[in-house]
Amino acid sequence: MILTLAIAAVPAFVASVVEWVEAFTIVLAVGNTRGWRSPIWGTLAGLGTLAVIVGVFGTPLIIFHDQINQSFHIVVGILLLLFGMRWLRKAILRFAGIIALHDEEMIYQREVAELRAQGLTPNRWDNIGFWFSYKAVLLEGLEVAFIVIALGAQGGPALQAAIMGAVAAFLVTMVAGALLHKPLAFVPENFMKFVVGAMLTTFGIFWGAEGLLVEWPLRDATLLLILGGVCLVSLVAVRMLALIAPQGARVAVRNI
Amino acid sequence: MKVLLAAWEQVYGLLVEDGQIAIGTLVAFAAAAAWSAFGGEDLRDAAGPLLFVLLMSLLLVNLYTTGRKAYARRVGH
Repeated sequence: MILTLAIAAVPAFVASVVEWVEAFTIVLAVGNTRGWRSPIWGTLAGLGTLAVIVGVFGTPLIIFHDQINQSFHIVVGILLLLFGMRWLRKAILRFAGIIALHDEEMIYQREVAELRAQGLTPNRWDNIGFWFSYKAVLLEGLEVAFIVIALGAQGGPALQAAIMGAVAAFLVTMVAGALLHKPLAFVPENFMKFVVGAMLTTFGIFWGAEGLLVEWPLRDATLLLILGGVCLVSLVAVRMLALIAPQGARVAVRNI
Repeated sequence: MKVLLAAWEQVYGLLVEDGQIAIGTLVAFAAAAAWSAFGGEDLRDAAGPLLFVLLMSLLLVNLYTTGRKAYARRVGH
């Protein structure tokens, strides 16, 4: 039971911190350039939309969990694999210097410049500030919602644990951001994305195979073996890329 | 409408960033499913390790290709 909850809560927390840090950078840029009233409402509206999404897609998981157990494991396994392999690949490419590391400070400066270029509105309600913040929270939060729903697919307690992990990440990020009042560039986002990618890939393999009626020899403890294997392959991949492109290729990800 | 389009792009982008990885993942899963379905009772449990091996091979091949392409671009410039 505790393992199930930890499996849902820990990756949900780590992945959510990464996403909330990215959303915070944009909301901070909006607040510091155009005032705080609209971005706060935009953030609340974005969170409300996310709550509706999790409610709409998460509630059937709890209600119909037993009836759709096997096929649902397959669907969730595939989704976790698609999502996890994507994060894992990107993190490995960043470790190898093939693509640039995520830089919150640079993103903040870019957003501030873009917002200043839009010009300030004389009225008190700032539509641009509202929509910028709403979009940032909604789009970054969609990844959080997806992870919460996928990790919560084991049933009610797992969904609750995943939601708690995401909410805790939100609170930690907001408190840190409010205290520091600057982009949270110190958060090791690339490492955290690697951890999440490795965990999601591991769960995807584990649950996906269970959906195919595979019985793992060590049951839940197999998760640790798979995770170890994924980390080992990732290490090999980074070494391999270092041999292929010794100083990193330094090209934009979109060009690959 | 723009927000909805951006949301759709975000959801699509969540799962598909590199076509080779996305399609390869689906093919690997289908192969494991076929193994599980047609391999009989004795071989069914090997579908899990098979899925792991296929996915990790896919990852290595994809990264190798990407690394070669990126290096070729750098040398070309």
